[in-house]
Amino acid sequence: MDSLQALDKEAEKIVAKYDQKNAAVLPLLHLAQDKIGYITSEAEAWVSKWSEVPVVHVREVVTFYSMYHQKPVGKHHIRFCTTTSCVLTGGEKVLDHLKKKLGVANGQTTADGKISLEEAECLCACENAPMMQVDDKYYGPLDEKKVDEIVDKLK
Amino acid sequence: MPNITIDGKPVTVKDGITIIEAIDQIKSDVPRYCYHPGLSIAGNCRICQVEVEKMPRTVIACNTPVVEGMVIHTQSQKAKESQQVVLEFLLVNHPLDCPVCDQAGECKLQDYYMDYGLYDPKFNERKVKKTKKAISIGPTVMLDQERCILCSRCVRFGDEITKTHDFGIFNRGDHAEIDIYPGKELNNKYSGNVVDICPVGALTDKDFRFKMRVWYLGSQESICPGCSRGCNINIEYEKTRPVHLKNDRVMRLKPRENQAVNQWWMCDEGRYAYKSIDQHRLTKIKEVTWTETLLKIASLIKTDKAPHSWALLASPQYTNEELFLTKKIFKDTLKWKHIGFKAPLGEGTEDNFLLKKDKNPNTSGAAQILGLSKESEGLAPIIEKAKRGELEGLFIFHHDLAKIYGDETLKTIRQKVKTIIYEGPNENPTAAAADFVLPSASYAEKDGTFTNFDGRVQRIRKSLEPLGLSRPAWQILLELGVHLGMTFTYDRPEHIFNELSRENQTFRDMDYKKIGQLGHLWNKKGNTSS
Amino acid sequence: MEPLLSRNFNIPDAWKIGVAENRGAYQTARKVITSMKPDEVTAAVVASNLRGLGGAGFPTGKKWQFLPKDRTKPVYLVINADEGEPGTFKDRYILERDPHQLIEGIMISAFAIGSHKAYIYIRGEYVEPYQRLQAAVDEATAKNYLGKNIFGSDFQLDLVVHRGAGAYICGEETALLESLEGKRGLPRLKPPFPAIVGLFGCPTIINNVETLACVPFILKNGAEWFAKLGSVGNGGTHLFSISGHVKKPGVYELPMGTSLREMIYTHAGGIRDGRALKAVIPGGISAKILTANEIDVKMDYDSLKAVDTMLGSAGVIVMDQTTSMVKALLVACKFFAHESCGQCSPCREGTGWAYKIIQRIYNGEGDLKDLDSLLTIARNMEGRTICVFADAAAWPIQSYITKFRSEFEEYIQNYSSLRAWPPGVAKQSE
Repeated sequence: MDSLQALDKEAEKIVAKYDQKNAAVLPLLHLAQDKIGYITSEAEAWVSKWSEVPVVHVREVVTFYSMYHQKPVGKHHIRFCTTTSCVLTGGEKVLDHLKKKLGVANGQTTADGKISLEEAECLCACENAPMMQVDDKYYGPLDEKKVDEIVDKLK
Repeated sequence: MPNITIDGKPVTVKDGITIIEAIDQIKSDVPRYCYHPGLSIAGNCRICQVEVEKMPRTVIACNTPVVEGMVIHTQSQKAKESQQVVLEFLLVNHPLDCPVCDQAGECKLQDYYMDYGLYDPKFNERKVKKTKKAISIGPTVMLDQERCILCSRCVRFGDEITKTHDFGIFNRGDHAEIDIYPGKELNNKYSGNVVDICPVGALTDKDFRFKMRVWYLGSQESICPGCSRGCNINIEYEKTRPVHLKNDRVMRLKPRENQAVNQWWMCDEGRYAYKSIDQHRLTKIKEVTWTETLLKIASLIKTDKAPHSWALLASPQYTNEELFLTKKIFKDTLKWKHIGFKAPLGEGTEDNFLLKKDKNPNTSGAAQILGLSKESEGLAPIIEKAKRGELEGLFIFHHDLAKIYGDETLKTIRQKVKTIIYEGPNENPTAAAADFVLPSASYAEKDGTFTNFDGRVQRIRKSLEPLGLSRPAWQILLELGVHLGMTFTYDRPEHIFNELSRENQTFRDMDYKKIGQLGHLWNKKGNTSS
Repeated sequence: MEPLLSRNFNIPDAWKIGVAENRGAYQTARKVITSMKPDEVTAAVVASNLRGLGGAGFPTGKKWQFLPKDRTKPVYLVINADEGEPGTFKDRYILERDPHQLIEGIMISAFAIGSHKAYIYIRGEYVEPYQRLQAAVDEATAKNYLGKNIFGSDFQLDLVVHRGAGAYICGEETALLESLEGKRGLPRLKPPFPAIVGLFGCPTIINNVETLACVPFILKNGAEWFAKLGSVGNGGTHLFSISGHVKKPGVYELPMGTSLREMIYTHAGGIRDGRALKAVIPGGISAKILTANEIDVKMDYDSLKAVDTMLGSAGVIVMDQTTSMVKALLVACKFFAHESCGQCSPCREGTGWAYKIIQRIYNGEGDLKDLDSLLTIARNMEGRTICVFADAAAWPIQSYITKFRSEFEEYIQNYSSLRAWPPGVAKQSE
């Protein structure tokens, strides 16, 4: 909860941007997750306090949107696209290769906690299919070699 | 006031309503799950589909406003197809739990399937598995997530009615689940209502769990005696089960709609208090017959000294009819000096919803009918006199002195007072200490009326025969009166009420017919009780 | 044609205000806000035949005119930057390469509708585009192009950038409003429409990024000019996203009404590896598919509607002869099952049910009856839900099976679990 209190000033600024406090739920959750790595029950209570939204409805939001993690993820989080253009251009094979390289299945984190993998729906970068998102950056077009390069660079 | 046509019938309806309200107004029907008149519109179940001429597709009745000249078909080919299709979608992932589900017999999925479904099911895949099956989510409610059709009634109830924000719908798509917040409990004072509004067996009552199949139940309209609000209820009791269970007859209480009193709801305190109808009852008399008992009592209380040396603790638990007889006997005929009825209010909770601090159903009636002065309404002066040994006899209706004043006070009074007569339905320390016990019927076993805090006179109706040798208090009082030399022309509570209505201005122009199912306000401005 | 929307896409640092202003950014906004009346702006947009470029194609000016005349509540302008339709990526280009164009369009539009507070809802996964956009907003604010007394007038505008968190359904107008208000993205019942009751219960206009980016051009060069650029009833140019089995996937700015054949073969370089075309999705995954024989069609709203498909988000996905339509439908059904918000029963249950059936077919456990089941589910979902997501989910099912039925039947008959396992197929499980 201490780490959350450090975000109080920022939370106040965020809440002030909106005409109604409840609109601050999504940005406050992003803020908490960026700090802690995932959404804890303390984070839910903290967001509930600042947004004045009952905590059960904060939790509804956490479980509805795919970007909020309900459990810890890796230091680096990969979203690998599995929708039409990426499948058409051979993305499944590249994904299989990535899974084998990391030794994880969809939704899992490597044993050393460094990298987690999520199969995602269209990230809207189809001109670079097959593609994936690593943390904030988009990468594509991918093949097995490029994937190796990108992953090996992750610290 | 738009003029419209519903299923070929021309009808004029109120302004500003939706199709479903119009359909309900003419007492027709269209299937619905998420719609509830006491909650906001959700429009998510999609089953209340009706065909409206000039509209290309069927529309949901709950969110389509009525306009002048609208022609609506609830059972046309198009409407039926839409209703059927939606029902099939709702049943796709619904578990085949009927054999083990309490909702069976009053389940809207079953009912609507029989009325609007009867199709050949095509689903051939594995059903979605949800996280919680048969989990207790609080002291009163069980949750089964797989049965939930995500109508969100319980969510809206918690957000809009109790404002306790108990429920949420988590995840999305067909993995969406109803639940409460992890680590929390559903324990607001109105939690039982979510079981009433859940159209399926996702939320079920723990108290009623597995007790009885609902088709064995009889139902009778009554009024909850738990507080001065007088919520309208139905008493549901075992009626047709071939093998009877133990001794309990009443299985549960359900709220009955009355917009002027309790809308569609009742509190948990009242809902789960039905056990006193069947348990710990006084069912025997010490003497051989009622008549012997009452003759003995009559001789004790009609002495010349009695009006000063006896006291009557009348009860705001009793009906208007019984209070009227009490007044006629003890005040008018015997002319007793010491009569009271109001016990101290205690720590009863009150809120700005249904709960009232006064946990008696007829304080208004008692005040109005007994016509005592404000200072003598309370029991306190009588209790003090009794403790000081100034009273020879106490006639107690219903009050348990141990509960109100403590065991020590009861002990003192027992020592100082020569004769104690107790009349009431349930066992308690005062009854145990009394010399004469007159077992009386519970509110479920007699007809009569209560007057609530608002001055609304409402009927209780007899559901069951009095247990054992118990008798309705009005019957006991009538026979006692006869033994005191009085004559009466009534043989049932309705007659007593009619005379009350003739004699007491506040109750004038009323009879059982006028009171009907929703009660009738008496002729008096303002409240008389808290 | 002279690039319009895309004119800054390949100019280095065009997302910075210095470069953008050198190339004309904010000049039109200045002219409009200091010398025109709001109604004049709206009239121009109506006359330009600009239609919503997010997917629905509703005439933009007409939408603005739905706002109530008497204003007791503030009017909000909400910018839909929740690009999520598979096959579409054009808004991203505007957000990361020319955000000032968008901001200028927002200013002019807010001025027209009398709004002083605007929110840009940008999809959560667009992190780098968000950073560029926020930086551009900060730059514009620093120059007082946003805030109070813009260009010395009494017009003020506050612009907030709001990030989503990963839900395709939030691209639907009313679901976006719910999400902006801090709730799950569940579409609202309509009526009432957002122009009457929208964000925070106030009248609200929601427009797509590209739609608003067009607005400065309309006001700069005139409505008639803009209308003539396109085809009848569909004014202007449009950014087409082309991807899949083409040699040159990317964003292509072309006049509304350009033929699909021209797009694929002339602009995107034709099919890769010398293969033959098999099928094309013309407007994002929700759009009904076209066969290789059906590509001589004008790419605008009305022409595509006439052949029972839609322009939608103009996300063109090209499929060559190696594509398995069974696989393609599997991917589409998976998408819709994952993205259904779950609010209403036909969509929630129907998308999940359809996905299970196509999985079973794909795994070689299918039955010919399953094809009719899928078509029935699709037909039953259509027109019975709160929003058009269910219709969008139904259209791929209906069009792939109808137009490629023999392929589906052959697949089922050859690859039933009693016979051979489909080559290269990994068994799908949820």
